[in-house]
Amino acid sequence: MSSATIGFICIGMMLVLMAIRIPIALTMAIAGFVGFAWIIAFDPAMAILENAPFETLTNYNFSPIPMFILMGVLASRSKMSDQLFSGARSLFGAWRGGISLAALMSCGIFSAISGSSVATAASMSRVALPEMRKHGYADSLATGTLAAGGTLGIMIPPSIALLLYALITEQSVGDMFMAGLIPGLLGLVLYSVTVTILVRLKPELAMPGEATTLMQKLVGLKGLLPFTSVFVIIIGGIYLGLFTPTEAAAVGAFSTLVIAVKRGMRWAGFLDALKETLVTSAMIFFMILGAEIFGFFLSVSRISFELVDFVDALNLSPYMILFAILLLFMLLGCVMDSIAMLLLTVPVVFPLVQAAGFDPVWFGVVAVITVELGLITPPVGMNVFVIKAFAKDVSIGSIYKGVMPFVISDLVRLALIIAFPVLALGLL
Amino acid sequence: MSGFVRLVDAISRGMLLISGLLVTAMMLIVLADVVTRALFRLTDGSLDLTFIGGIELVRFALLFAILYALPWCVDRSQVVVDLFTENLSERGKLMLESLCFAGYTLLAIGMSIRFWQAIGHAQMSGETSQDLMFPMSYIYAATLLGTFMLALRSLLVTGDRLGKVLGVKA
Repeated sequence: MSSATIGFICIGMMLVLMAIRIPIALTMAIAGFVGFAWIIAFDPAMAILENAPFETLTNYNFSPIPMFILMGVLASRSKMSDQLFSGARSLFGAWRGGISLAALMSCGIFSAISGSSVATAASMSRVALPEMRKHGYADSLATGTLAAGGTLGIMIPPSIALLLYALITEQSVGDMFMAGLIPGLLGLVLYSVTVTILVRLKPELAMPGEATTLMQKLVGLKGLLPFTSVFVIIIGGIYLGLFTPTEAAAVGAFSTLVIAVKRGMRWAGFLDALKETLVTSAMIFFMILGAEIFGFFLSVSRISFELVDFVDALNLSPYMILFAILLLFMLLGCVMDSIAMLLLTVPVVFPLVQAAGFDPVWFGVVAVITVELGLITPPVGMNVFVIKAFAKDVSIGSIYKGVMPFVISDLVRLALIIAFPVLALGLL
Repeated sequence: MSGFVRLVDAISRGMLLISGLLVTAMMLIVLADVVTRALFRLTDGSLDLTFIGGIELVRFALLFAILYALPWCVDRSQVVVDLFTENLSERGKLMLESLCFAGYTLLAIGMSIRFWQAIGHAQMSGETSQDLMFPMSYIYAATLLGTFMLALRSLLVTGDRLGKVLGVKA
């Protein structure tokens, strides 16, 4: 039996195991181990069980992951998000749909110090959802706004997804972060336009709030300060060459810790934040370990090469290949976690992307936006489930209905970035 | 048996605390590295507080921070596709969970065997780390503790889930 055939059998086995509720990390590890042992031999496969965890966990480039998570957790636990939301609300709250706009703006700014979409959605929902409901916002608009707003965390730097993509494909982490900035902000603008159009078409979706004076607006802006200062420290430090993007995570986490302590966080609160950080980090590293073992198998199975040859033989245009890959991402995104999907699929499709002549950094941005869609599309939208936890009386169907206009907005953004790569590559 | 389960849980919690401290240490080491480097540059080299081995310390801190968190997190940090098993009975789900944790047990046993062998090899060859010259046998031994505890905790969680399926109290 050829290596590629064994490869496809093992990938099939992996999908079956995933479908019967076996954790994604474990299915990748099992398929990788069995496939490698089948193609090479059992003893070398056992060696992977030493190499994969040791090489992965002592890889300095992975060290920002727990730091970026810690930043988000500290910001959330020290209630920085409350101050941020009330600041944004003082700017837009009086407009029809203004609280939704404030929530979106808060999500965008919160994303600047949180690398995780789920953390962004959870932190902002806790503060903004009760306010929107209190002011008579339709459940679909309130929950849809927050589920979609949370996805900004995956694109606006620092982003764990962009970091992982950079490490998998050996791109510069700094370049990936810079490339994510404009598409992330574009997402924020398009989401805001979506809310504005929605409330224009259906005014009953949201009521105008209380007007605020100029002084209240200026005071409210103070709420944005902690976030902007941490963001400026991170991005400014990288730009000025004071530290590397890898080191920026630790600097950012420390800056956020200082703000959290100033806001009253004590030892017990810090320990709780560390615990939450480790639970999330362990989840990501379980998947990275599984993907690493799977990666050893992928390289000996030569599946990627077979795939490139196969696609070559089909004589498809580069853009048809791109659309096929994005369609695959969208389909997988419906049932799979975004980070898991990136770890699983990027090593397989990346050679295809390179062979088609696409810029790897630009493709990373396009891939992450597509993966991001999976966070809010049915049946498995992680952000939707997070919002559901905060709005137990709202049906999942109603949240998905609210999210749909934002999905369209994301598709528009995707089309714009495919049509105008400069949107992603302009800052490089 | 329940006393042993409690002991393993307590050790896992203790290891999680060590993980937390290591994450903090990682942050402070990188910060110290950045600050001393900046001072060196600002003073044109007259104030040299830079130190060797910062990257290596962070690498090992990351290794143990994550590895020592895994035993406690093994049943708390998993991502599953539950679309196709949503309507399965609770018993069926527990059965599948026991299968999953049995898988983790085997995986962690495999890792432990390899790290056990790695300790022997490192002792014989006198292998040390690159910058700080730590004996690698110690590093592998500390790694083995993490994978062994992961195997033990996964085994106990498997037993717990199977016990629930069979209606037996662990």
